[in-house]
Amino acid sequence: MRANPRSPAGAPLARIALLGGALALASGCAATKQAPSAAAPSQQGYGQAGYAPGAAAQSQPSYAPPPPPPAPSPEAAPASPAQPGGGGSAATERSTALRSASNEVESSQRELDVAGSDCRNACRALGSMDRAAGRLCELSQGSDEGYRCNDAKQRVYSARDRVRTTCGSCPNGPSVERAAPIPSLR
Amino acid sequence: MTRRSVVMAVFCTLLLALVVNFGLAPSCSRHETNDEGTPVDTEIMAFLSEARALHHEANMKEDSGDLAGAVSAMNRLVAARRPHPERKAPEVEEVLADAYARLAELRLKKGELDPAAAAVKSGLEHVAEATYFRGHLVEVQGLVEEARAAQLADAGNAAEAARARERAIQLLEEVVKIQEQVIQRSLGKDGG
Repeated sequence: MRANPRSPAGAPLARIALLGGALALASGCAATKQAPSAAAPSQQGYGQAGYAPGAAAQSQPSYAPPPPPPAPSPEAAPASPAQPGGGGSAATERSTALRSASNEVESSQRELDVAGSDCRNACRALGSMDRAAGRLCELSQGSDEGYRCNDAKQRVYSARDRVRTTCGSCPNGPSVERAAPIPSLR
Repeated sequence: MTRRSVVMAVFCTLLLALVVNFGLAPSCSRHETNDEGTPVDTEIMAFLSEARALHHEANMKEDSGDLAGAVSAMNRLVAARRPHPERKAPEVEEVLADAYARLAELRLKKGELDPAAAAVKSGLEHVAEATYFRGHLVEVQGLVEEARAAQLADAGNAAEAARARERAIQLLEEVVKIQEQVIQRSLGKDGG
């Protein structure tokens, strides 16, 4: 049997093939883009309290991209004009809404990841600050340099307030409570 | 066009799509970029993976009391072949700064003050800006000077001990200021 070259007999198969290739290409890129966040290093340590040796080798990437502008919500998405043969139009609208919602979830996830990474960075910096102020105060104890200790302590208190307000706490890290001793971890 | 030629066309299209996929997909991973637009490629990823393994080895050695073994692991890390020596990738620089800080801490634990100070100095060459890593290196430097002050005082050298103590205090004050900046930057100036 001969197929008419103009007939669409082979077209669906060709479309499937092209679509398959495009999907494979898209999924290839999407999958590889996840890799750095899982495997790349940079900011978080080995999960030890306070300072973690090897901090760079285990952490979230410091090159986390900024969150993209929020995707339009399904409600905000412009309604497609009514098309003849309403079934197709409804399906298109549903597909647009789903895509939109999916983008929104991804965008929120990225924002959360970036915020988490910022708090991890702030917490370990607070840990270092806390320890340094503690050592400084011990060294200046009994001398007439108490003001240096007081200045360092004030900075730690302010930093604790800032971290507490934004991040809540530093799990396995320094205290963010103003009244906690300095250093809060020994 | 015969059915067979249609099938052949479809097969060729699929093959082409796969070739395009394999040809381009790796570039998606190879050219992941960081904040500064520097590509993070497979060589960098391999270096980071090696760094993680060596830190893990150092952890195990340190936990078992083998400080020399931990120092050796960190020495291997700072001597490891670096990806793209012609340019400085921030990820690699951070790993090196952190490895030198750990090396300095380990040397300090062993009472080797001059090698510890040398490790801090090497680490600071990898981190010029006020980052956590710089702050941490300066913190270790402060601890080294504190230990030096104690050593000098024990040896009856009060004047040198006082100078070392003053250096330690100044370094620790610097740490507080650096990390304060890091927190402000991380959380936003007005945040909190």
